Formats: sequence, structure tokens, C-alpha cells
Amino acid sequence: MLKPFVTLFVLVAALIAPLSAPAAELRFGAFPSSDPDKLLAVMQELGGYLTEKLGEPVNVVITRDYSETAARLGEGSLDLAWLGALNYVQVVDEVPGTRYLATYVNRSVATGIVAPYYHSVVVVAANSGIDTLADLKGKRFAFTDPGSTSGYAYPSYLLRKSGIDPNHDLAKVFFLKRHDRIVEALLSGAVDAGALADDVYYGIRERYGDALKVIAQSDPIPMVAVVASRRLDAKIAARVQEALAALPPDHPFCRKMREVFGWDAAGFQIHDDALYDSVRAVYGRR
Amino acid sequence: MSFRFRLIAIVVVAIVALAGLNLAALDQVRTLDTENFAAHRAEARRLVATRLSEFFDELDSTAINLSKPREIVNALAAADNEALYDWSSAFVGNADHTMRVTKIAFVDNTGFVVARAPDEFRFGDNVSASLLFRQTKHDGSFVGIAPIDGKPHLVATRVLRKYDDLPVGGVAVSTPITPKILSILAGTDTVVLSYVDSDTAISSTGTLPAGHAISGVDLAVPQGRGHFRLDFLPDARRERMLRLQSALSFGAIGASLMTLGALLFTLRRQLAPYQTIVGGLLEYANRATGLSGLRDRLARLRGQPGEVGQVADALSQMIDQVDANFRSIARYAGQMEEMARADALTGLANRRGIEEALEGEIRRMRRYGGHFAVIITDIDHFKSFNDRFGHPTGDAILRCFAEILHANSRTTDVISRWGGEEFLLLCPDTRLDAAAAHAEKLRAALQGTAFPEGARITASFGVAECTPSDTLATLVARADRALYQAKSEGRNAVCASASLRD
Repeated sequence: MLKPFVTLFVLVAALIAPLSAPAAELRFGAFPSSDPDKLLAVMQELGGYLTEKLGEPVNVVITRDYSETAARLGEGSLDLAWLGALNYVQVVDEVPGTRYLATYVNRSVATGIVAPYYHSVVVVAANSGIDTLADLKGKRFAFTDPGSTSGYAYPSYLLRKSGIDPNHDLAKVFFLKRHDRIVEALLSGAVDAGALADDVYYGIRERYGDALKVIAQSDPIPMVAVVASRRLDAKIAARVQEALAALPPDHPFCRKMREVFGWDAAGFQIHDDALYDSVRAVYGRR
Repeated sequence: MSFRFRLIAIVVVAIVALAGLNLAALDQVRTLDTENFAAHRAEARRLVATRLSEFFDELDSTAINLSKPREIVNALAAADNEALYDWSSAFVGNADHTMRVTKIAFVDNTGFVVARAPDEFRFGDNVSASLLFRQTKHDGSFVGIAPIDGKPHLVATRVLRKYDDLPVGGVAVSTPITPKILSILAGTDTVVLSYVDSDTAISSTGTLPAGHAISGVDLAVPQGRGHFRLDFLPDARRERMLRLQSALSFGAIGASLMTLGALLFTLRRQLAPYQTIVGGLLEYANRATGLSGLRDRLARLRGQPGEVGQVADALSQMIDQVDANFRSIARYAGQMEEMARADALTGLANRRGIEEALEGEIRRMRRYGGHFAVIITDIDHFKSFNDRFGHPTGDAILRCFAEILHANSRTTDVISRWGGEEFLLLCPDTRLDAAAAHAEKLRAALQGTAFPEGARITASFGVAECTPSDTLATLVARADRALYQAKSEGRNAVCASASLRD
């Protein structure tokens, strides 16, 4: 007989709880490039870590895309955000007052060095007879996506610097969206060359051996930045920065990164906004 | 014979008519069947043509569906292989299970294949040299048959336009022409659908129907090369039915003919005795056989059961009767003949009889040699006896005279009444002198004989021997002259012609 009342109580409590919670709750936004669930699983590890370190609840919010993320940082409905290099540069431009906190770092598959950046490589079939970027004239080239930093912006910049205008000097440019599809397309001969993140390239070397080769490497590409909204209290922001820098490499977050995205995550380093100047150069900003 | 003929003719006509009706019925069944089959063919052709056009429609509508969404147009404009692949793979069916679209390709304005399904990583090739590309680019679309990857495909293409205006490339939706597809389009295994062009021939049965197809029609292709051909195979069930019908009909005809044969055989057996009878009678009528031949024939039928036997018996009896009658008639005729040659009063040969005998003897002598003689005798003064005693006595005297001649002659001698009271004797194998002696013997016998009414009768005799040059007339004339001589010498005398000067 009590059951309906218990149910009602639980419902009411659930509705009232957010309003009655302490205002110190933080929202950490991230938007997916592919599967939102995977991203959420990884980010919740980070959220859990920060909650523990700050003593304040840090909730992970999966936003739809960059614009939504930028807008919410601006209005303060997000306190923290996880942004790729290009988006970082954009948000600094577009949402004044957004503060840089830290840069995610990776252990390079190729070199084993922990660094806040990685590279894009131009890859061709080993037997293609293509050895330099100049040889790419009149060839078919595969990028991932026009919005991709490592899959388009940096390699495109690299080509241009070598005198190859992707829009005119190549026979055809294809956008294959995913790095693994570029590998498949290269192996099947659908394209002559493609741009890959170096991690991806070195990751597949075990599987495909020497079928592919690198003919050029891009400038270092800064890794994901964690930013704080200008509306977030500076002290809390500093505590977040501190907590991130202290994240141990064996933390479940790093393990999850490896599991889900294959990135050999090594935690966070605190650099400054200048780390992202190469991005500004590549995108022709400033 | 003609009755039998007519009877057989009736039976034959009846049975031939039956057989004819049967054949006509079979022919009608065949005609109906042929008409049905023609209708069936027309229907099959219509169905296949419809399926084919529906298939093209499906390809075309898929091409349209893939050419309209702005997302797809933009993806092609941006060479977004992944998006295009996702779209196209959603529209590609499995060739083994459906007759739907099995290949989709997006091609940009320059002929580069930007994405393909189901081959995700087969793209980047340039098809600008192909007729299909050029035709699509020129016309905005293509529905028909075109070679894709070197093999004929059912294809529909559309140009994709940014802002519904600027062409950014095209989409090709296709299915290779395979035996499987053709058999689905054919719908039934009694037809063979084939695709034929200058280098390829593909058929729903795997092989092109060579000679075993009953007939075929061509189906046009909306655009592009080659054509479809629909061939109709013999339908085993229908063939069986026709065979059964034929067997039934020919069986019926066979039974009719057997019945006819049996009937003819029976008729022949039944009618054979009648034929024997009639045949015998006809032969008899044609004088091909005599009564005895006829009777022999009928004898074979004696004792035949039933009517025939009775008829044969009756006929035999009739024939016996007729034969007996004929015999009596013949006998009677012989008697008549004899009577004609004999003298009624004396019973001796008459003038005609003796003339015949003489002629015969003359012919015989001329042929075989030998000799004979004749004696003519005439009762002396017979006229006065007749006058005195009357005719009956005269006749009695003549009869008596004849008796004496007969009694005193050899059996081989032919004695005849020559006329009136004149008698002539033919003496075969007798010379003149022997004949004269014989005449003398007769003359003497007369003298010693008592005649009726006590009359004294004498006679004169003239004898002549036949010579090879004699005719009846000269012989008799010589004997006559001798008789005349005897008369003139006083009667009751014998005179031989040799003693006369001829």
C-alpha cells in the first residue's frame, strides 16, 4: 500500500535535488568526433578524477558540436571544455575570456616520447614510385575531412609549402572521414597518397608491414586543450589546472583512452597559448 | 458381289467418317492449343517486358533518389567518399537474393569515381572515357544497358546538381546482366530470356537456346547497346498432353480400323459361300463351266450350316433336274434324227439316210481306198398291184419286200427305200461281181417268196461299183442305167454296169 507514495517521493526528490544541490557543481563539456558513448565513457573517468580532487561534483556533458560548445562556454553553462587544437584556436578568438588550462599529452607510438603534440604524415604505397611531395602532382590524394586538423589542415599546409596546391595540382582529392579508411584506400590503390596521423600510421605498421611508406611529416600538431569558461571562478580554474597536471599516467582515464581511442595517454601538461600558434599559422589566423 | 461391295462400302464409309471426325477433333484441339500457346507467348512477352521496364524503373527511381538530397549532392561536390559510400551501400541489394540494385557509383564532373558500393575501397578510377559517362553528362540521365567494368549492366544514371543547377557529377545505379537476373526477369522456366550484343550473350539458362526453342521474340532496350530475346521452350506438360491426345485419337482410329478389319473378315466368311454360288452361276452363264462344274462347286457347300447349305442343296437338286431334262431332250433329239433318216413304211433308211451314207462311203473310199458297190432294185409292175389290191396291200407288199432284202443281206449292207417301189442297197467292201451275185441271190429269194394276197412279185436289179472319180450322182446314175437295162431286157433280171458301155 505504501508503494505509490514511495514512488512519488522518489520522483519529487529527483526533481528537487538539482535545484537544492550546492552551486559549486562544475560542468565539463566535450563533443564527439565519432561515437558519443565512447567519448562519454572516457570523459567520465576524467570527471570522476576531478570530482575527487576538487571535492566538488564535476559532471561530463556531451555537446553536439563545436558551435554548441563555444556558445555554452560563452554563456557559462559549461565551466570546462575539451577542445581539439583548431577548436581551441577558434574558441579563444570567438569567446573572449576563455582560459587555457592544460594540454593533453600522449606517448608517441613512433618515438616513445611524451609530448603535447603529434604529427600528420603523408603516406603512399611503398611500391608507388612516389618519393617526394613533388611527385604528387596529378595524383589522387585522400584527406579525412576538411574540418580535420591532422587529416586535412596540417597536411594541406604541408603540401602548399612544398608547392603543391591541393585544389589544383592534384588529380582528385577525396575525403574519407576516417584514418583507417585512408589506409584501406591506399592499400587498394583507390588513391595514390593520403594524410594520416602519425599514431595511426605507426599503429597499423604491425598489421600491414611495409606496404605503405611516409614521404613527408607535418609540423607538430598541438594536442587537445582543456579550457575554462571566463565565468568560472579563477581559483577553481587553478585547482582544476593543478589537478590535471597531477593526473598520473596509470590513472583509469589514461587506460580508458588507450582502450577506447588507442591513444597512449600520458596525462596533461601545462603549457601556454603559444603552443597553438602553429595552428594559427596553418589555418591562416593572425 | 455388288451387295457385298455396298455393305463393305457402308461400313468403310462409316468408319472412315468416324476416324475423320476423330482426326478433326484432334486437329481442333491442336488448333486451340496453338492459339492458347500463342496467347501464352504474348502474355509471357508482356510480362517479361513489364518486369524489365519495372526493373529499369526501379533503377531509375533509385538513381533519382540518390541524386536529389542536398546532403548527397554536397558530399559529391566535396568528394566525401564516406558519406557517399554510406548512402549508396544503404541502397545496394544482394544480387543473390533480390533483383534490385547491386552496384552504385558516384562520379564527379571529371569522371573520377568518388565512391562505389558495394566495393568500399574501389574508387578513384576515372571513367570519363566511357560512353555511359559522356551520355549521362550530355543528357542528364541514362536508362538502359551499358558496359560497366567490361560487362553489360542494366543501368540508370542521373546527374547531381548543386543548387539544382550546377552539375557536380552523377550517380550510376546498376545491376550486371547475369543468368540469375535474366531468370528472375523471365519468371518461368518455359521461357529463356537472353541478352545479346556484339560481344556478349548471356542467357537465363546459362546457355543460349540454340535450336530447341519453339519461337522467340526480341525485346528492345530503352537505351544503349544489345537487345533482349525471349525464347519459348517446349513445355513438357503441354507436350505430354498433346502426345496423350494424339495417342487417344490414333488409338480410336486404330480401334476403328481393327473393327473394320474384323467386320470385313466376318463378312467375307459369311459371304464367301454366297460368293461361291453366285460366282459359279456367273461362270455358268458365261459358259465358262458346265452344269457338272457348277454342281462340283455347289457340292463343296453341301452340308454348310444354315441357309447357305439349304440354298446349295436346292440348287444342286435343281441342277440335277435340269441335267436329267437335258439328257431326255438329247435322247429324244437322237430319235428324231434317226426318224428323219428312216423310211416310215419299211423302217429302212430313207432317201436322205442313204444319201448321207453314200456320201460318207465315197469320202471314206477317197481317203482310205477300198471299194463298194450299190444295187438299185425296182419291183416289177408294182403299179398294177397297187391298182388291183389297193394301197394298203401295196404297202404290205413293200414291207414284205423290204423284209426279204433285209433277211438276205449282210449286216454291214445298208438297205434303203430310194423312192416309191425303188430300193437301194449299199454294199461296203464289195466288188461289182460280188454285188451282182448278191443281187442275183435277192432276185432268187423274191421268186420263192409268197407275198400277201398271193401276189407274185419279181424285181429288176441294177448294180454299179463306185470308182474313185464317182460322185453320188454319177454312181447312182450308172446303177440306174443298169436297172433300166435289166428292165428293158425283160424284167426279173440283174444287170451290172460294167457290162454296159458308158
